[in-house]
Amino acid sequence: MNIVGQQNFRKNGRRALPTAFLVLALFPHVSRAHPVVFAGGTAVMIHQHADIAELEVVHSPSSRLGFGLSAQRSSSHSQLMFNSSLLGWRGNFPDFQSNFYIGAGLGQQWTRDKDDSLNHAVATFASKNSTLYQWRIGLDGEDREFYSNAMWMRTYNQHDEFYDQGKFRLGYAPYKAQTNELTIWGMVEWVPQRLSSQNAVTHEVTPYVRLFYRNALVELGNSLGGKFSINYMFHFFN
Amino acid sequence: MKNSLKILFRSFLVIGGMMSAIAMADAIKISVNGMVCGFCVQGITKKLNSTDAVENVKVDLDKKLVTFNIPAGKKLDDEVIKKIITESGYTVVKLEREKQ
Repeated sequence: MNIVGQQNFRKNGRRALPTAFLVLALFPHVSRAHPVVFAGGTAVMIHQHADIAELEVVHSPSSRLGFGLSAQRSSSHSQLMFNSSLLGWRGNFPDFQSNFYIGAGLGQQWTRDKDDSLNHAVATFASKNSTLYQWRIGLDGEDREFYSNAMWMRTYNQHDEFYDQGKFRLGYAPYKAQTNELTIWGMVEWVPQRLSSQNAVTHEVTPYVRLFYRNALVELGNSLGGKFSINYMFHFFN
Repeated sequence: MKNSLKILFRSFLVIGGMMSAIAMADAIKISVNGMVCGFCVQGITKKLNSTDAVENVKVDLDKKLVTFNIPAGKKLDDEVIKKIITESGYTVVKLEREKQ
């Protein structure tokens, strides 16, 4: 690269960095609700939590594979991760659908300011700059009235630590919505998490209201500990 | 002369029948397993609409049915239709084709 090129690279880099952090600040935690979409489809998932936020975009070249990029940010750290997911099994029944996923991720974490408001496991894990490796499994089952989802993931850093997080959801829709009708769900989410260097498991239970219309979904929740959570997801085809 | 008129009349009937058969649209009705939500509906609808041989896609979650038309002059084989539904992530139970 010549001198002019280097100057332009530095100049553009300086502009790009705050923009990237602004994007991360607006959106950034553990969505991955739909790691594989239909062939040719793309899903955009945004999770905004009181402590942490995440934006993830997933594209599926086939109905079995999904590739995504997630950006996560809290007051203590930022994280970027490439994800790949495989739909290992799908059960299509007349009134019921079930899926089993496995996935892996590779990313980088950047430490920012130490924040004592975060739960201890997250804060400790996020306190070191590191390359991250992740793997996860997920199982879901749903019909038009009941929804269940179980996901477990383990993230390793370069300091011989790993961070486990589970996510278990149960939902109920009081009526079966028709094709172009708004569906309203009541949902409860339980998230246990643990850092390898600690014995304590922390838990967060969040009741949600899910509003689902056509290809867009919004979930509004407030945890029993008083922390708000908003999830937004939409699918499109191009 | 009478025989010639009969032949001519029959020929018109045969050609007319062939022409109308060629110009007929196909109505497709597919029973599909695994459709439970709006994302399923959108996925199937978008995938079918991505082919120019499909019109008026409708999904009925209660009856587990996907219906659409293939306009006159267009062609879409059953195997291609099944592949589209499978690629959307669902299972075709039965496919019916009716001339309209």
